[in-house]
Amino acid sequence: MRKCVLVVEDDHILQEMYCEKFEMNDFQVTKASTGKEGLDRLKKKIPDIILLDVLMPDMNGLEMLKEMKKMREYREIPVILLTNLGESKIDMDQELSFALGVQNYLVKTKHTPDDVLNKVKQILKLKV
Amino acid sequence: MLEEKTGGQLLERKIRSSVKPEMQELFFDLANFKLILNNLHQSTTELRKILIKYSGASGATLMFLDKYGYLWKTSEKTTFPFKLGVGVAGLAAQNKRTLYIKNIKNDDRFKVLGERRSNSAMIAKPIIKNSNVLGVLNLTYSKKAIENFPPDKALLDIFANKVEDILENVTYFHNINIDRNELIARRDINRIMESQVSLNQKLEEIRKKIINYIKINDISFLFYDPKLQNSVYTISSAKRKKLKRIELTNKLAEIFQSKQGVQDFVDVSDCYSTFSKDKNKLHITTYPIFSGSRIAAFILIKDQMKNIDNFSTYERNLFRLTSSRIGKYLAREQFSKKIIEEKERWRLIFHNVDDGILLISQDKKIIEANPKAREILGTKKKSLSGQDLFSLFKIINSDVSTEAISSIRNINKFQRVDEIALTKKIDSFFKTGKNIRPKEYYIETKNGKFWIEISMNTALRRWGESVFGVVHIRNVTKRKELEQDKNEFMSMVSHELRTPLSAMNGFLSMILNNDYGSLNERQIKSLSRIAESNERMVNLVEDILDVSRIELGKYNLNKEAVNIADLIYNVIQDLNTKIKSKKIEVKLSSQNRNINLKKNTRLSKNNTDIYVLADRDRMIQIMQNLIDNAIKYTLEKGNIGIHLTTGEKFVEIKVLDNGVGISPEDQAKLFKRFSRIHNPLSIQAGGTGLGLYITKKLITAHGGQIDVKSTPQKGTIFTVKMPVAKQLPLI
Repeated sequence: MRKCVLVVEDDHILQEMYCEKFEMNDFQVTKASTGKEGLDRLKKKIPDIILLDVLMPDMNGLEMLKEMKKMREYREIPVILLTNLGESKIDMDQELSFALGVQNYLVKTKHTPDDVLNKVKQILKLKV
Repeated sequence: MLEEKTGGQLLERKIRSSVKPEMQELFFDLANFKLILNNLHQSTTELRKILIKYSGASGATLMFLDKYGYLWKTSEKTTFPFKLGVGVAGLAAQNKRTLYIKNIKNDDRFKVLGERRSNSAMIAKPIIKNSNVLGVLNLTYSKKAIENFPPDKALLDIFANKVEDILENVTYFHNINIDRNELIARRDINRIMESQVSLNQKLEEIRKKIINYIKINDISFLFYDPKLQNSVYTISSAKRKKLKRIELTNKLAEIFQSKQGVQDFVDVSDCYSTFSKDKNKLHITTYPIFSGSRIAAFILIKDQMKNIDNFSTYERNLFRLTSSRIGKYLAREQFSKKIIEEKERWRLIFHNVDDGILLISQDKKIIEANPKAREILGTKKKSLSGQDLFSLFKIINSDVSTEAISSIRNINKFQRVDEIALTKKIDSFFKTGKNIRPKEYYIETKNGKFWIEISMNTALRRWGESVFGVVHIRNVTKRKELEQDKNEFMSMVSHELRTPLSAMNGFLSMILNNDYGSLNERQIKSLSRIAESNERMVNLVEDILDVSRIELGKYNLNKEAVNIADLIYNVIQDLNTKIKSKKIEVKLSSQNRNINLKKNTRLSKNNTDIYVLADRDRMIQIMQNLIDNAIKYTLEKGNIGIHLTTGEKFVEIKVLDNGVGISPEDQAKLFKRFSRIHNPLSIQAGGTGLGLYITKKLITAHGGQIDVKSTPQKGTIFTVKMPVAKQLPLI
C-alpha cells in the first residue's frame, strides 16, 4: 500500500521539489501552501506523515501543529519540521516543537531531498 | 694708697705739665663739654667748635665708621659715605695711621672724590679703641689757616680722646638706625607688594618710599619683554600713569639681553643720556629684577651724587630687597597666570568634550561630572558632587556573555550581577590601577532606558593607590541600534538566501542521484562543481547567520557533560572523506592512551572518560571548525594530531598539524571577523573568514579559552581549554 505524505510548504519551488522526490519514490503526495490549507487537507485525508515548513504566511507551522494536537485523530500523525530559520527563535521553538511531538527537525539547506526521504522512511519503518 | 687713674687722666696730667698755660683753658672747655645723648647732632657741633678754636684749623669733621665699613659725617643728616680706603679719611681709617696731607690739590689720590678745593691741607686721625677703628677726626686748613698746620701732636691726642666718646655713641645709634631703617623698609616694601593694587600702583608706592628713605633724585622701573626686541616698558615718575614703550640703545639692549654680567649694579649713565631729554648730568645705575632665572625688569636709579661707587650698604640692601620682592611677585604672578590659563584650558575641554566624564573617589562617590555626563545621565542638578555613582542609574543588562542573556528572565538578579561586577572592577581599579576597558551596559535613568559604554582610566595615583579615577561614559544607543539593525538585516537576508539555496541544493542532489535519469561523466563533473559552489554559498550563509546570532547574543547553550573523545571521534568520521582525499593521517590521543581511529567501534567510557561541560552541537561545531581548518592547511600526506589532557578545571584539547603554518602577523588577526590569511592553501581552501571568529566566540561563551602557536612551514597548534564537567551523565 502506498504511503501518503502531506507537504506543507509556502515556497512553490521547494514544494514542487519535495513532491517530485516523494512521487518518484512511490508516495502518494498531497500539498498545501499554508498552515490553514494543511489543516483543510487533513480533513479530506489523514496522511502517514507530514513535512511541515515553519515560516509560512497565514498560519505558520507551529500554529498548525498546535491546532493538530487539539484533535485526537490528528494527534498521532508523525511530523518532520523543515525550516530555514537560523535564529534563536527556532532554538526556542525547538523545545516547543518537540513538546508538540515533532519527530524530526531538518534544516532545509543542510538536508537534501534524499536525506528527507530517508528520514521519512526511517520513521515509517520502511526500507531505506 | 695709690690713686687709680685712667689713661685719659694720665694723659691730661702729662699735657698739663708740658703745655703752655693758655692750654689750661682747653681742659676747662673739654671738661665742661657734656655729651647729650638725645641730641648728638648738637653735641657734635659743640665739640667741633672747641676743636677749631684750639687747633687753629678752618674746619673740623667727625666721621664714624658704620657696621658695613662706611665712613659717615656726624654733622650732616643726609650724606653719602666714604668707603674704607677711599679719600683721606678712608685711607687713614684703613691704615690706622694719622695722615698729614699738605698740598691736597696736587695729590692725585684724592682728585676724583672732590675733596674741598678751598682746603690746602688736611689731617685725618683715626680714632681707635681696643684696636677697633671708631671713626676719623678730620681737621682741614684753608690757605689762611695754613700757618697753624700741622697742629701739636699732643693736642691731637687730647682731641682724639674726647672725640672717642661721641663717635662711639654716634656709631651705636647709627647702626641701630640702619637696622631700624632696614626693618622699616622691609616691612613697607612687603606691605606694598602684598597690597591689593595694580603692579603700577605698587611700583609707584615703592618709588616714593625709596626716594624718601635715601633722598635720591628718582628711581624708575624698566620692564623688558623679550618678544619686543630692543624695547622696554617703563614705569617712572614722569610716566607713572601708564607703561611707555622705549626703544633701547644698543648698549642698554645688550645689558638687558645678556644673562651674565648684570647680576649686580651697572652704571648706564652713558647710554641713558642718549635717550633722556634731561640735560643735567645724572648718575644712572641699574639693578636687575629676576623673575625665576630670567631678567624681567631693571630698577633705574638716578641721582646727581650717588652712583655705583658710593651707594651705602643700606642703599644697596634696599635695592636688592626691592628687586627681590618685585621679582618674587612677578614670578608668582606669572606662575598663577600659567596655572589659571592651564586650568581654563582643561576646564574648556572638560566642559565641551562630547563624552561624559565623571571623576570618582574610591568609595564610588562623584567628585565632579562634566555637563555631558549630566546630560547623558539625565540629571538636572548642577553638581553631582558627593553622589553615589550607582544612584544615578541602574544597570538593566550588560553586554556580557550570551549565557547571562539567555537566562535573563530574572532581570533583577542580573542587574545586581552586573552592578556587583562593575563595582568589583572599580575596586580593583583603585587597588591596582588597572584600567577598565569600554563595556556596554543597558541602563535605566530618569531619562529612560538606553545603552551606554563605560570605561575607566587611571588618574591621580599616590602611594600606589589611585586617589580618583576618571569614568568615561558615552551614549552608544544609536550604535547599538545600528548594530541590531545590521544583525537583523543579516539574519533576514540569510533566511531569504537559504530558500533558493535549498531548492538548488535539493534539485542538484536529485539530478546527481540520477533521479532524472543517468548522466554522462561530463555532466556529472559540471553539476558537481555547481553543487560544490552551492555548498560554499550555504556555508557562508550559515557562518554569517552564526555571527549575527552570536553578536545579537541570540543563542542558547544547553550545557551538558559531553564525552569529548567520543565527540571528536565522530567529527573525524564526518570529515573522513576529506581526510582520505588528502591522504592525511589523523591521530587522536588522550593523556592515558592512543585512541584507535581505524577500528570503527564507538569509544566507551573505559577508553576515555574525559567530559567537558558544553553544548553538544556547539562543541561539534568548534571541533569541526578546528579539524577542518587543520585539514585545509595541511599538505597531502600530512599529519594531524588531537591530544586531550584533563586538569582540575579545564580539559585541554590540542589540535596539531604539520601544515603551512601561520605568520606572526596573521596570528594576531586570526580570530577576527573576515580575517582571511594569505598563504598558498587559503585560496584553494575557500573559507569565509568567519570560522575561527565563531569558534572563539563559542569557546569563550562556554567560559573556555583558545590560543594558537604556529611556525610558518612547520605547522600550527591550536590549544582549546574547555571547562571540565563535574557531574557526569547518569548512564
